[in-house]
Amino acid sequence: MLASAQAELLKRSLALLAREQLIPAEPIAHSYSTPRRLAVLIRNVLAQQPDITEETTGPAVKIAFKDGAPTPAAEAFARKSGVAVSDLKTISTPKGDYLAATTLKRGHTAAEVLAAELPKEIAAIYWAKNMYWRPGKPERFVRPVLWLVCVLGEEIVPLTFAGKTAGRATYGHRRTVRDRLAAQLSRTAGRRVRPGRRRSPPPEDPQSAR
Amino acid sequence: MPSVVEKKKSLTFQELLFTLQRFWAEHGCVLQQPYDLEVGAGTMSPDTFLRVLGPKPISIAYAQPSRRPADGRYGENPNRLFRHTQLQVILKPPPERVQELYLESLVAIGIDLSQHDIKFEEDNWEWPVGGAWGVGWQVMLDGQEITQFTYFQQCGGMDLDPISGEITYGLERIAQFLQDLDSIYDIVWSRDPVTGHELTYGEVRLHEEQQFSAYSFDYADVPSLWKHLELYEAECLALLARAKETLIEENTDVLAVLRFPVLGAYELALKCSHTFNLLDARGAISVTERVGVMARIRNLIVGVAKIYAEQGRLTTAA
Repeated sequence: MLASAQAELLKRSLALLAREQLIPAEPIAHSYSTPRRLAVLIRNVLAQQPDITEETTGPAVKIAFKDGAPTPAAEAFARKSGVAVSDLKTISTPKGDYLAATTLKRGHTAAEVLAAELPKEIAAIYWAKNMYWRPGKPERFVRPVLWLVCVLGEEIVPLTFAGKTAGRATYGHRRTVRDRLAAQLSRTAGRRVRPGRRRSPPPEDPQSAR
Repeated sequence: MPSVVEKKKSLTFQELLFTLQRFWAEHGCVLQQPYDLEVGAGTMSPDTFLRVLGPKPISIAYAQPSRRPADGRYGENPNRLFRHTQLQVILKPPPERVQELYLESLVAIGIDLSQHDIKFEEDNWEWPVGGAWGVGWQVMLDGQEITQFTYFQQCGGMDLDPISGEITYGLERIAQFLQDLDSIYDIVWSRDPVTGHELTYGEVRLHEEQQFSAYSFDYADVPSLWKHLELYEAECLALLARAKETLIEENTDVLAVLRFPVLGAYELALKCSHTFNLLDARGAISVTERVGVMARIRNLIVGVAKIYAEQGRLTTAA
């Protein structure tokens, strides 16, 4: 069960990054699991999606201009493309001359994309039998999600899932690893996880100590 | 192996119960007394089965003697009982730290977690007759199951929101472990604080095991049991039918709604369940009959759960 979830998390993370043009064609990726943790490590993630220049075709020139003045059709196309009418150009096609606009689509940062899209991938992992745990039943998972870690380079990506916001701290086996582990997912250090120096208690639940 | 001195210090059966009850009371649980009707598990007590329904939060703990007629061994098997004792804890909704709390409770009863192997093994519980299921773990202590840990998802065929966390300790198993014994009957139940005289589990309970095993397997009168089953079932069905007329939105008689004996109907359904177990132990239910009888009991228990939820809805709205 854990092995397939581990593989699925990796597959989904890679597919997301590929779809969003955030990794090279042959990324270096690993996945890990323990009874309480699923993890993936993907190297060479780009900081930002490339900017994309797009050319869109608009109305025919003979509709767009009447007596040299732009018609509502030309204005609407310019507005839709986010450019001035004067920036529109004319292209020739077999069907005649048409207006065209060149637009620049700015790429999002990897952190933005991950924060927006990764929670959906986590939610979509297949479990033979999963469960609700939070009041109002907002999401399901195999067991309650207690913490999340998401680090891009040295920076935390504060994505949220199941009411938890990702940080840097993860937790090992309750007895054998008493210290909190700081997940140092660093590209340069080449170390996946190394024990933190600070001794800190496990996550506290404000409701629990009743 | 614990030394003799250490062994003496381990909790008696009754101290084990006190300690766990105190632990959970200190964590906000209401301590309830055992339910005074035959049940096969703590889950079947209305303090679990009915309280997990509906929106009202509850933290409750109680010991529940649990009768399983087919499990009796005339007191001759050191590890099997007709009637064992569960400590049942219901946390609705469960706190996020519920697993940690459970581990702390093990420390409270003297289990050194650094010296023993504790595993939470995936184990998804279900009780089809009650339309109930949940996911969770069986907790293994050095390879022996000591607790069932469940996040209830459905009960009486209804989705739960909020869900409940259920912790069911097998007290005999834990006492046997703490006292390092091969037989349940050797468990020290109590120790006289003045004389130090020890009373064992066998001295307290062996005669029950002998006699109820004999009753369940050899003496229980099968035609009478079938009659009991039919009588309990008929009365329960009659109450369910009357509930359909009483527990409705249009009923302006608030007292009639409040006083409608859903709990009485539930006891009749539990009686059917126990009678079924006795018939089963007597070998009186054929394979073909079995499914049908279980469906009849399910109909009662799920029916009661539905009217309980309805009564709760009507009386909290009023």
